[in-house]
Amino acid sequence: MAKNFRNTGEKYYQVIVIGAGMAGITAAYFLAKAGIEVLLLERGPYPGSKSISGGAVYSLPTRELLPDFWEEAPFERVLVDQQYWLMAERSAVKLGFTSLEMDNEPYNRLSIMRAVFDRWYAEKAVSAGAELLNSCKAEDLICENGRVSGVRASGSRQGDIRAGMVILAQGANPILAERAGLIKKTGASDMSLYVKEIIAFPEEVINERFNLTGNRGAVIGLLGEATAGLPGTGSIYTFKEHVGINVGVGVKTLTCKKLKISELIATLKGHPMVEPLLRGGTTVEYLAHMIPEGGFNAMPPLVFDGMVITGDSGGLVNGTHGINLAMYSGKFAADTALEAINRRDYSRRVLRGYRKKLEKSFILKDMRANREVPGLFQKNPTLFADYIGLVNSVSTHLSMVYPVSSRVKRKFIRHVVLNKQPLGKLLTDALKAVRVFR
Amino acid sequence: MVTGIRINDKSRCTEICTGTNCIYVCPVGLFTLSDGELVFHEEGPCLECGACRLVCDNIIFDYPPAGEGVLHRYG
Repeated sequence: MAKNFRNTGEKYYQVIVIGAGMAGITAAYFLAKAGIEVLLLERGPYPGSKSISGGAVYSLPTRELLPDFWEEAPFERVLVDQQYWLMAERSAVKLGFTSLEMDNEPYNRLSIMRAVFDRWYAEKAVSAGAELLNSCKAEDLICENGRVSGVRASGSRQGDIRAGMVILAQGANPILAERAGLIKKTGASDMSLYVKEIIAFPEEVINERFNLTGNRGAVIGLLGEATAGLPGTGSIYTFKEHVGINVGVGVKTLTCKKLKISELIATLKGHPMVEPLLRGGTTVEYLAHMIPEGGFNAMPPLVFDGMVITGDSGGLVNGTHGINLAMYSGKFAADTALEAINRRDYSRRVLRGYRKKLEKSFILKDMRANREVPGLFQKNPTLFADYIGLVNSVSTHLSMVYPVSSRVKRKFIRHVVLNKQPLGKLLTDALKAVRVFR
Repeated sequence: MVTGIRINDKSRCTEICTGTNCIYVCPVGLFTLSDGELVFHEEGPCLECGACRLVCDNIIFDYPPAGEGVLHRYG
């Protein structure tokens, strides 16, 4: 492929991708595969050096993009055991599903560590022909004649780098687009803050504690008391020789409740159901990350003249799913860039194809369907906690053996339920939930 | 460690701010209160989450210079 040089002598790329995370690497990989001159910028010293996720990729959607990726990708464990704990202070209702079917290819969920996975994935993009610049930070978008036409870089390459178009994959803080006045800063009520600890254990200890064999793994979703009853989630992931525990709630929630995020994870780690799983381990990493959780209604515009926004930067997160959406949005951005390159037209009119691809895929179909979910929790912040408390007290009484007849016990339990949640509220809450979850 | 964060107008923290939102969201406690005064530990181990920038418009957030800042070994 002929290299294009501008008269200034500086190198010109067909596409610049900002950020080597899941979305950015995917975009760069597919563009490079198509023979496009693509530059992938990573401000950290290696891809993955700033990345974090709860800990799993979903193999079925991922293999559509990267066939049989598990044969070469560095994954930790095959997650065959999936649990949800509805936690109260001193009890938990545990729901679980274990399937050894998921232990066979193509699997379902594979636990990964992003500092390792992203590095592998970026190398794949480089092998396909992408140019990766580590320790290179995009300081500003270059906007000329009403369009984005490159980036102002610092670090391992300094100065202006121009391109046909830019794919912004900057993560949850798309400050470049904000600084250029293209999008508004996300509100604190539409972002959650998660912290995560990675705790080292010998492999056998993990297998014993989580009832696992070989490289099989478990994931436990933690709800209710896990987040001090606030809307949010926690989870525990097993890796080969590490256990990850994370917890997060809305940024606005933290400030309203005057609760420190560091205290939230400390409390969760000390919960009587959680502590025995983590006892004796060594914390080797403590990380934090924001997740856009405002859903469809909080998404910024994604298409501009000369630029599209992908992944977390575009608010493309649906419930607990982020990596899939990031990867697919990166792929769609690459496909759209190819169309733009063919037509030599990087205007919004052509790049709008990106939004259309998102609309036609599971990404915006699901996000649109779930658009009322974030609002439901913002308006009813105790919804989850109330019902988790309720199922715990009902479970307690169901489980206790009292010296009374079953009929008296049933009546008593009914009394407990209606005392906590009057019938009218039960019905309206159920109705709200039915309307919102589709 | 160099953070990319700075406080725009320090007098606002002492004179106007009543919320001290920053101290709750920072996962490594870069913002603390000392004798009722806000202290920003700019040499602290910022995890680059960006939460502080959402809760206070007096905080100017940027990532640290290229190649610097937090390094994830696991992620």
